[in-house]
Amino acid sequence: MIKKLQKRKIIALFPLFLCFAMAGEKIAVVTKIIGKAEYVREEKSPKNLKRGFVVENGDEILTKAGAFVALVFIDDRSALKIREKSEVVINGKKNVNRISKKIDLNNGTIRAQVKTNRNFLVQTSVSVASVKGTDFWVISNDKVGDSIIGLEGLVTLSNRISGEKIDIKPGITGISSNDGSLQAFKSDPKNTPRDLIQSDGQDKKLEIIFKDSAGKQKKLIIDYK
Amino acid sequence: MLTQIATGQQKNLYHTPPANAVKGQNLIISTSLVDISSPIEAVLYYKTSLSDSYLEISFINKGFNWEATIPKFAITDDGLEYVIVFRFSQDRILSYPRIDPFNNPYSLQVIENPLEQKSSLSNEAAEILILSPDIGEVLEPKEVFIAASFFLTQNIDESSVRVLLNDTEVTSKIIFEDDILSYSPNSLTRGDYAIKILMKNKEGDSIRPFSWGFTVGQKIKQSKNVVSYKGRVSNRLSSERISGSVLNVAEVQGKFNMDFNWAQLDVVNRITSRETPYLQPQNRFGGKFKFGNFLKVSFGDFYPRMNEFMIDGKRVRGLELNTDFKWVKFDFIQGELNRVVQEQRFSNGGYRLNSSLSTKNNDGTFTYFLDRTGYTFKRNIVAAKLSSDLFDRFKLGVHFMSVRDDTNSVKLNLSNAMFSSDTLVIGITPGQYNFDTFNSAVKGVGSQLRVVSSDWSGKKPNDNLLMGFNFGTSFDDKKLNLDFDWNLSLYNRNTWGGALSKSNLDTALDDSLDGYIGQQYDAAGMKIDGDVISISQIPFDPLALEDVFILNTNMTPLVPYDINSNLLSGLINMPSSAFRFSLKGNYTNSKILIEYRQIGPEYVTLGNPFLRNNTRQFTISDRASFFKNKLFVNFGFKHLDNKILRTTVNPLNTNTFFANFNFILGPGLPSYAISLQSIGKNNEKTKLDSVGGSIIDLREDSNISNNMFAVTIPIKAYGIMHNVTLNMGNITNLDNLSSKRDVGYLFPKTDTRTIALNITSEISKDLNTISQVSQTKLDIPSVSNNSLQKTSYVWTNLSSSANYRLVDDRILLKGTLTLIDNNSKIRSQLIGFRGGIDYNYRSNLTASLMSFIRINYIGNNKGLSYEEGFDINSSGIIFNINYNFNNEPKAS
Repeated sequence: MIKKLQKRKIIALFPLFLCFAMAGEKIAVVTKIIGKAEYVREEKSPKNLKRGFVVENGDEILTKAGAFVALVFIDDRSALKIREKSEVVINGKKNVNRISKKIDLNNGTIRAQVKTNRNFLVQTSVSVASVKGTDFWVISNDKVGDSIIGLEGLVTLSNRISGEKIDIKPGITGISSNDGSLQAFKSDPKNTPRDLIQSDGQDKKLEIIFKDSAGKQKKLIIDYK
Repeated sequence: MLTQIATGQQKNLYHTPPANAVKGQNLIISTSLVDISSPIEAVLYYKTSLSDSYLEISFINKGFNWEATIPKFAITDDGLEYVIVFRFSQDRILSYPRIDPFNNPYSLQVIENPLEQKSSLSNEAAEILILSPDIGEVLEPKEVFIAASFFLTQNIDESSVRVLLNDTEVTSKIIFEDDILSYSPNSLTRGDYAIKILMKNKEGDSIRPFSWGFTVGQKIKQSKNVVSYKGRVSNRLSSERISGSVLNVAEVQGKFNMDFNWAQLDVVNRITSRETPYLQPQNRFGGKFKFGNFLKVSFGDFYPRMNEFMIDGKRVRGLELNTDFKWVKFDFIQGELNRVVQEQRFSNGGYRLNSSLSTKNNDGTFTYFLDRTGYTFKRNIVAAKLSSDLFDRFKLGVHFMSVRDDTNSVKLNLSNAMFSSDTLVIGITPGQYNFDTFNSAVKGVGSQLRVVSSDWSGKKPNDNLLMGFNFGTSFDDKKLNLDFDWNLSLYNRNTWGGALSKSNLDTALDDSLDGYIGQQYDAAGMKIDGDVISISQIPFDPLALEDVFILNTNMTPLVPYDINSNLLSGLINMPSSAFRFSLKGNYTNSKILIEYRQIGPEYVTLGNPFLRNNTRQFTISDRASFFKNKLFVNFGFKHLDNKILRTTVNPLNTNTFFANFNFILGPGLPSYAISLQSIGKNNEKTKLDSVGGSIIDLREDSNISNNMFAVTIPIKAYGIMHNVTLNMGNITNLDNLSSKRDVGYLFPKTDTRTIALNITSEISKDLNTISQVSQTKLDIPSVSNNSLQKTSYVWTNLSSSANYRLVDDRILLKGTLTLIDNNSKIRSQLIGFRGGIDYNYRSNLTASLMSFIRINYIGNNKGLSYEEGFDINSSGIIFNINYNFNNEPKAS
């Protein structure tokens, strides 16, 4: 009998242990901060966020007016950029060689630049954006719903209320409303948020000089936005 | 040439070959001349071990030494071979190697960059992810945050991780927890930075370092530069006196690069006071315009490399077009290989009185003829290559090249050319004349003067047509590559007179205008059976092809294809064909080569004059690495002969076995290089020859053993880091027929021993020194009193140099003291001092001043008739200014 009780306790407490075990997992690093931002860990009072802060599973990041935070995940260099007045909970579960990421966007605007097209999910109270592509903005407004602006690749946007799904391609904006509706239309560049750590949409060029097996110097030029 | 080289062996060319060449790095070849007049030309010829053609670079006189830099593109896994040739007046030549240098070039092993080796001792590469900053990112000083993720790495010993920021250790300042390495520098000054992460695996082996770079500076919010440019201007002023000859040189060199994002323009130029109309151009002006990845246009001076059997790096002045549409590539060249030179600046250097043409007229007067000399025809080149790379697997290509001397480029009349007249011109005082003065003098005695209008006695105009094809494929995931090139040349060594017509061909080889080429007749006028060609069988008129190639009796070969042989044999052994078949394996730890190449005895390409013809060569070699790239072994076998034609009676066979070992143990540990080469030569001749009633011994059966050992040991003593390098080499020749030869036979091969000790010391960050002791001993054979004697020549070299930096590295003082002792039949010493200063006025503006003096001392020499005492062998002063500019954002 006692053994049974202990067993039940263990079973009951297992998720808690799991939470503790996962809560401590370091999954990302804050690489840039503009303005004021805070983090909340284990429901303690908010603390100032600083560059170099190591984000653990379950950390919540809050950005103030005019603020901007960029963080990079340590498994694949996927980046998450958080604009002002946003509330984001960063969840990640470490597997053998990757981290399954789930971003809970309670309010605000984020940009996700995903390096591997698996295991990256952005969730709001209204919508779920599962990533099949690489680059998109999520603007969450708890009053009206969410906007997903596709920049590259493909994002599947689901409305949690109606269960409807829609694929967002580059140049398309998806609107997921509180009433369960989903709409897609061509993106208006004026409505695309500005990435504060990237020059204004200009193409950038990265040149890497290397030598081939014959010792000849060659230049690899990577054009990116 | 070889005879000239052989006769020049008594002169003193002092050269210690480097232990090896480092792949991807320029190699400076240095040599010294001891007690000899200044050469009129000093050239380094180099090629890869697999190539048959040499590229050439002029040596630059650096005071004590002559230096030539082999560009890094030529230093590849294929190995390196070079020949040093100094040409003096009166056709004297000094070379290294001394005997038959172009057939026995000095062979140098190419090794991987030791510095890179030190950092890549293990092939493992850690899967580190850069988190911050991005590669090449420009950051404000306060933004710098360095972070990397080890999440994906395995088997890393975290305690071994070290971090260097611009080679400064910052390991103690990093935070390394839970697979995340981070470091926040307090403040970095503006500039470029490199982060290097060094680490070991759990077995204790070093893993390839991980590094990336970023810039701290003013971040540009939005670049306004549509065009970026950068460039360099440098000048050189030098005044040198060498063995009594004064040489003053002023040069300005410039490089300019413009990047339009969608296109790039590169311009290079050199303007030098050495430019003269009497030589090929010394000035250089060339540019390259690249439009994306599919179009490249080069203009001015450029160095095309289409095919080693056509043109392979020889300078062309003109236009080059390269297009690359992936599946189809087209390359085109048009320009000149030689510019026209009208005359030489010495007597008989433009005109020469040709007495053999002088005629006596009916009225008793004479007609004299001036012949043109000292000229070089403008040599035009047109070449094209069409190739395809199908499915990234099959390569196909066809190519052709035409090189023709323009006989109209050389002027007939020269007003100022001086020439000498001798007593054969009747009534005219022997002496120096130009055309006008001599013409007047000739007319004054009632005779006439003519200038030969064509077929001058100077250089003959050439015509050269080449065509060929190539194909190749790859196997085993592109690790194994099969290639085949085939080429055919037509060469006309004298195009004066132009092409023959069909009727001219009829009488080209025989005197009978009978509709047949080569038809012979007996005394009765009956045809003699033989190989004859009917004029009617020739499907074209050579005259009609004159624009493509000038066909006449000076053509080589006269008939390219042996019509009597079977098709395959005839094709393969065409005397004017050249082909190459190779199988190359490029595996991680092994680079294998199997190659056969054949260049017919009559194959000529004017685009690659150093291509050695009449050779068949088979090569098998492997370059392998062992023990996690600590040991490199390059070994193989080459067979070379000239047995292409069935008519070759005594082919010269050369068999070379070689093995090179390079042990590079690791950072701070000794490295070793061992090179072993055995060359066997024989000409299959077993009997003595009779020439003009005397018996001569032309048999060849010899072995050359060429061995080298070098060790470099880093030593730290009293806080000073030294690198000690010991280099020992010897070349030993063995005549296998010595017991069967006559006592007075001269086996003309020189044994050589060299030993060199080099110590490089870094005494402080401001002061470093290099000390060298070396000795070279040659045993040069000669025949005296009908017996073979060997005369020893010993050069001992002591030198010490130091560099000292001061005023925050803005000033660098440099000095070198050298003593060379030359001990042969006479003994002499050379003492030299070289000193200079480099001054960095700004980061983009530097100046350098260097002066040198070398004093020759000849001692008593036991009464030999040499003047005892000191004299200044050479002296000089060299001044350089370098200026760099660009419109890129400044880092500081």
